[in-house]
Amino acid sequence: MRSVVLLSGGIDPVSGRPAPPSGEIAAIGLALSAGGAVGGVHVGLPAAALGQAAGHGLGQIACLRGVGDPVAILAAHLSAAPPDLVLAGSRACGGEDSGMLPYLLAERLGWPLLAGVVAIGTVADGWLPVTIGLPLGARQDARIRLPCILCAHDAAPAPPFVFDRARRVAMHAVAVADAETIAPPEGTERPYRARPRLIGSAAPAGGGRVLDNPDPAEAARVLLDHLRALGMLDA
Amino acid sequence: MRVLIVGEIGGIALAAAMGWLVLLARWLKGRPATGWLAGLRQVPRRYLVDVHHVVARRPAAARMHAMAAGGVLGGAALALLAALLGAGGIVWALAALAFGMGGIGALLVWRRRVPKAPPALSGGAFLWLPAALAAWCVGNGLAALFMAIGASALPVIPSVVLGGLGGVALLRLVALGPMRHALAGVAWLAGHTRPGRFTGKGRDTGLRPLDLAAPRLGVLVPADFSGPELAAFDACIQCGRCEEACPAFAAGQRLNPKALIQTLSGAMRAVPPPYAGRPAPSVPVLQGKGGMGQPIVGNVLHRDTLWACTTCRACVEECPMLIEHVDAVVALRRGQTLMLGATRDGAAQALRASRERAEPGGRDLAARGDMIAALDMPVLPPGGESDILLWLGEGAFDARYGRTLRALVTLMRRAGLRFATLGADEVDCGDLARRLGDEATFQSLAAEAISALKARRFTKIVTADPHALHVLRNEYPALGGRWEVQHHTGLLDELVRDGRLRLERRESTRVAYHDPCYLGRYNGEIDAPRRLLDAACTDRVEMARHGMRAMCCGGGGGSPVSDVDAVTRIPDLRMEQARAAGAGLVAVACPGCTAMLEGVTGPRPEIRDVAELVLAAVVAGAMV
Ligand code: SF4
Ligand code: SF4
Repeated sequence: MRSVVLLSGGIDPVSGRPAPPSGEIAAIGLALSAGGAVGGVHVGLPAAALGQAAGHGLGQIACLRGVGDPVAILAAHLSAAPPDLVLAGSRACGGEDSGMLPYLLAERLGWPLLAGVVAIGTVADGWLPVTIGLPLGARQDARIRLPCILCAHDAAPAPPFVFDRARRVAMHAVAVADAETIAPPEGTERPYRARPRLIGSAAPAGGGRVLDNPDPAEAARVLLDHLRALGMLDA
Repeated sequence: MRVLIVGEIGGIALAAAMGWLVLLARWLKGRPATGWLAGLRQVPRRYLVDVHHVVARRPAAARMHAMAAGGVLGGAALALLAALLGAGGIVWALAALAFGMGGIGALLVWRRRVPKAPPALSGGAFLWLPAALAAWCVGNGLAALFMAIGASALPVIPSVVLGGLGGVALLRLVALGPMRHALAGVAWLAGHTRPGRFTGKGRDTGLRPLDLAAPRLGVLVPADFSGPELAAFDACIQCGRCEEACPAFAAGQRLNPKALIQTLSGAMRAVPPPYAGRPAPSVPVLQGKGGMGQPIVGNVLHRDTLWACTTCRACVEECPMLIEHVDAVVALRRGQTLMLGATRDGAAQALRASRERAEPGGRDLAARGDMIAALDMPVLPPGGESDILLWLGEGAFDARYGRTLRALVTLMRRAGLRFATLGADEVDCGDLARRLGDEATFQSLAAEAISALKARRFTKIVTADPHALHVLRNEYPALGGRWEVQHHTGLLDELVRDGRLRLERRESTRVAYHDPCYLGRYNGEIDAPRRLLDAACTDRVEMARHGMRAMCCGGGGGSPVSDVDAVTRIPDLRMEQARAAGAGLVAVACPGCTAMLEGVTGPRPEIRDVAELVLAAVVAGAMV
């Protein structure tokens, strides 16, 4: 089993100092629990948060030095020597983090993805059993085919920080081909506006439909209709 | 006959020297210490002055020790002298006298445990000590006496045999522990890791910086301690004075400083001699095997023991062998934290926040001044200049301690002082990280704090937090930050003395002052707060434990964030002592003590910082 943990140059939201996001620490924990070789990958220059992340259990981190869309750079790097498991946090903490990266990467690699993972089991017949954390402490078992991408739940057990590991981490720069630049996000920015809140009896009771393996377009249409019926979207 | 006596006493002495070399060979497997054996010439002074200074706090024990040790050694030296030089009866008589004194000492050693042994004393092999001492002293004493009066060989021979048996027993008691302190003590006093205790102001309490590039950080196995430290563990005489003073032990936490030192001594050996003192409360017996390269924590020492220590130094203050328990605890914590990341959850959170937010509570540094925002405190920008830099400390985030700071700032203003804070540039001083063994985070916080301080000009730093005081005053110099650092009680005392603040005593309930460990034992400042209280309150009493021997509130050393199990809370015990002294108000001088003692539930004496009491008593200041 070879696992790769995706690392961002995290920034602590309160202090603005470098700090690995909790989800990435949890991802390292999952990778370690899978056993086998574990390495970190970061797109960009070595950042201070990487060393701290390494303290939670990474022996080496590859810093991919290329310009352009990090999804493309990661996809190229990962498909060159595909690991069994790619792990990520739920969302980076730094700049324009949307939490989309693992999904875009999965799409590009054509790999399956599961999010909210709190624990993983041992592989059997190419399937990896995982436990997904749901709200209110509920747990759901699932299994996924390897290779795959797993996003760790922020509350998954975090391995302890060990300074001795942090100081020993081998960070090597890997020169990679530049990728296409990302188009600036579409849309316009406007100030935050309060949205109608749905609480208690304000929500229409009952209703809803269960769709079994629906066609995506059909599912989207049903969802939109539902939201419109609730008054969450303009008609 | 002379040959026989030389053979007996000399043989025992030689065997003791050999035993010392065997022990030394083991200690030398520890990290090397420079100038260790050169320190041997310091031993007589350190022993006769410094050790006896502590021993003499209990006159009965001091008498016992002086007679026993003096008799055993003095008698032997005189008898050897007489036998070797063929001296006359007078030297033999003196030798007999010395042995006689030693015999009385042996009796006193016996009386210590009879009829009732104090619970802090060890039993086991210690019960044989009086007999061994008595045999040595009586046998050799009689032999000397017979020599002095020129008696025939007939009575001398059995006397020498008795003395020799006593000598062999004493040697055996070196291996078993009770007599080991005599040999190990010499090595420890020669290489004491805090020589500052013997010179100048006689205090040396700052932790030493760790070289973060060293392959092994802190201590995991006995061989990671330095040679003299290993000798220190062997030098413990199991007197239990540390145990009686330890707040964690009193609260039923899994720590007994005496058992800790004995465990560390035993950890060096695959088959340690049995320990017959009180263990740490409710600690399960660990089955691990010792050895110079065997792990200590989790193997022979219970994890909880390590995290229960408040680093209050009460044990160090009481120890007649001048052992440095806190250094041992911190060295072990460094190993666990830096090499294994094996801290308690609460401590791990505080350390993470210290790393990522430069504040163990994880709060925004800019919010530190919120509790005193109404005072409109000036903030010193980089390059700025002021007379006093007020270091706010961690307590400033706390609403209760904000009252203390407001009192202090008001007083400083009334005295017409010019001062400012670092504002959001004040990071945590690193005290908590350092006590928890996270030297890496401490050093990075310290570097940041030092560079923030160096970017400003001021004549001195004042702080109301004794922990920050200790770190800034005693631990930053080794990292390149040297400033005059003053505790707020020291500053207020100065202002009152100079007449810049005039106080009028307020009718008060009985006030007892609780010494913060980091102000008292760590910095020797016990008088200024008392002078202030005497000037501000009409009725001050002392708790039984006060000044340099005060009991800790339980708040130091990262013990509160380490979630240690206890039977009762340390601050509850301390509050009970305040009640016993008849106090209606406990005066404090530390944010930690304030929080711990205010956390005592139920009806209790009130808690006020010295600054608050001074403010209530001030009638005039420079600006009034
Ligand atoms: S450590 Fe010191 S105070 Fe404690 S039992 Fe040993 S000699 Fe006595
Ligand atoms: S420093 Fe205080 S808490 Fe720690 S062992 Fe010594 S007396 Fe006990």
